[in-house]
Amino acid sequence: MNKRAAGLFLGVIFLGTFIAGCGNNEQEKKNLNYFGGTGELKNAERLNGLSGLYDDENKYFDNGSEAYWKLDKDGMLTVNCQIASCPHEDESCEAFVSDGEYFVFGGKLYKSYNEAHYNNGGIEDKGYIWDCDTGKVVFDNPVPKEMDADLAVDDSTSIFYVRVLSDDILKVEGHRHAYLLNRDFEVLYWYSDVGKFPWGMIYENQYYYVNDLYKLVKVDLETKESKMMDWDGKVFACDNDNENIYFSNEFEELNRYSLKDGSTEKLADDMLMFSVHNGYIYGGSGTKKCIYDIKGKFIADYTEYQNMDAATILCMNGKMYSWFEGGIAEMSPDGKNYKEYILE
Amino acid sequence: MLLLAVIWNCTGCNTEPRGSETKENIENRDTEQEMTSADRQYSTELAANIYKCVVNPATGQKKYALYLGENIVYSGEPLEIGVKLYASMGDSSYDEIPVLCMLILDGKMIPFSLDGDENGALHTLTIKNAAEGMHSVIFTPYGVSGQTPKQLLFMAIPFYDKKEVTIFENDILACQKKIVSEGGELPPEIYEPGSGYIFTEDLYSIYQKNIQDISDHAGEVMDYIIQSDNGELHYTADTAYEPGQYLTILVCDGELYNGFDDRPYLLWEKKEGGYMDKQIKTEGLTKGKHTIFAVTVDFTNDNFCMVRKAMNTEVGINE
Repeated sequence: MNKRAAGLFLGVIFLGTFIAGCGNNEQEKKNLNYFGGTGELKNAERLNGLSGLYDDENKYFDNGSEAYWKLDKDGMLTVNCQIASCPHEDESCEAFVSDGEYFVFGGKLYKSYNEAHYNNGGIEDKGYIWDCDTGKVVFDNPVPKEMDADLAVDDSTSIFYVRVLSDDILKVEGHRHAYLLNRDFEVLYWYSDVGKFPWGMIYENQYYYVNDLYKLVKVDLETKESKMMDWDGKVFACDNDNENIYFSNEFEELNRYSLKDGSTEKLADDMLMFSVHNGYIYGGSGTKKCIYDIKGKFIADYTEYQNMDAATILCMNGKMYSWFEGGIAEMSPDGKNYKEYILE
Repeated sequence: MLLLAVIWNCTGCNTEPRGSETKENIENRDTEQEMTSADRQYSTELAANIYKCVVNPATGQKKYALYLGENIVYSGEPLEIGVKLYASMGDSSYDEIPVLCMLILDGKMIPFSLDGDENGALHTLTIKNAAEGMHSVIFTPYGVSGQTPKQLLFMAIPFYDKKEVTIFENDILACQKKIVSEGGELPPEIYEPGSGYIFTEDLYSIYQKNIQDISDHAGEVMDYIIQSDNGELHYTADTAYEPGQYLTILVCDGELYNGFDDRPYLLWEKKEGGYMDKQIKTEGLTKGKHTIFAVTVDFTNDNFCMVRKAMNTEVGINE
């Protein structure tokens, strides 16, 4: 082989290697999800907590700084941004979301956020839901046209909460109104007597929520008929599993209401704020924090874990998490194996 | 602490904690802050809330319940409510926190019974550091009717007479709620003594020093008790006070002190410009050292009272 032929041969090998390498990188890139991890993104289970997502490798947390954090499989907690010099302070940062959050609905990733707009000489927040695949706004949370004028004047278009109620129904809550939307972001139902907490659930085509009078309301999504549950007393906080609604009342008692047979049972005292996850109830009153099972059996007291907040706890991939200033707290569902990850 | 903030502010809070997503109206007070004093760092957490007292007619047993979207209702008898207090002084050495309690109804101090004690305008109480406790408050809501709801404000003021005076002690546990009358039963119209003073003119300083020169804490606190070089005592309120109506209560050595023209309180109105400067009488003080502070309630807004405390000031009386 002369020098020229040898050079051509080596050149072909090099080019072949380069192309193959490019192909692998492209393939790897294709396999990365929107957050830079691998596998499908899934929503954390949460009630009042900030949003969280996870994939095969990592967990991603909304937090007080507006830039999402990543907890990787090695236990490293970092801002989910690849640029070392980035201050993570505005939309130029890939981890940043301004006054909003990411969520998965119907198998697709969306971002809800609020943006300041000038309106009649003042500044007001306008809420949007943005399709992360197409880059298009799919919903802009208008004040309902049918809303009573006295209420509408005090309403706004900003988005307070987004909650995925099922694969097909999304709840978007603003200041004075809430919408139930389908996968095409069409309005299925709206109401204006929104309560303090973002809880809502769907059971056999009935929508349940707590209204501004602290009463449980049931809405038939077929007929749109709405009715307040005829209970003595008031409902403070609610959460649910597949067949039960758990609620606390003004006496800070935790109760379980069976959607199957309509029976109500008191489970515990001193439980005002709580969340239900995978057969356990996490909550408390005042400074005390406990875990009960869904039959009211005491499991653990985790008051000493100051950074594992009972009101805002969330569940990802079988573990419980809570955000705190500068880190993430983690424990097993039964309150064991507590640890904290501090942001690098 | 987030849980505590959410729970105790189920009827409102001053600052919504990021991380706990609840829509709250503004009513009760919950604060968290860190203050550095000398070489120690204190982290304070305070919370207070008003509860309904429910008596089981069959057993006579009392139970306390949250007021959820409702006012306190007066229906004839002296009213009993519960007040839940929580104060944590973080890593401080205080196991117990002495507090002074007051009840203000639409800008006026009213007498009340605390945990079964005799009626009085000021009560002392000791609360455990970082432990919540429920306390019974019985009072008559003077002047309340179905048509004219009034704003009830309960305050518990941490007070350390003999210990180091630090700015972190400047916080107040406070909670408030509207009160109305139902069923035609009306309480007495007014509680005497007096309605205090309303200053309709601006008061300008007679103590000619800039606010920055008065205290290292200028900008952090808005009220001061100051003693001038000639021994005169003054209550001074910063220009940062918005125009409105205020009640200032004077406390000396843990007791109400009649330093405002023989009264322990001063009702005043701030207009534009100037700042409040009111001389405090010292005739009632014995020779020696005394600790004085003032608490000022801004009741300009019908729906929400702001509360501020002046720094504890050690004053010396020569004669």
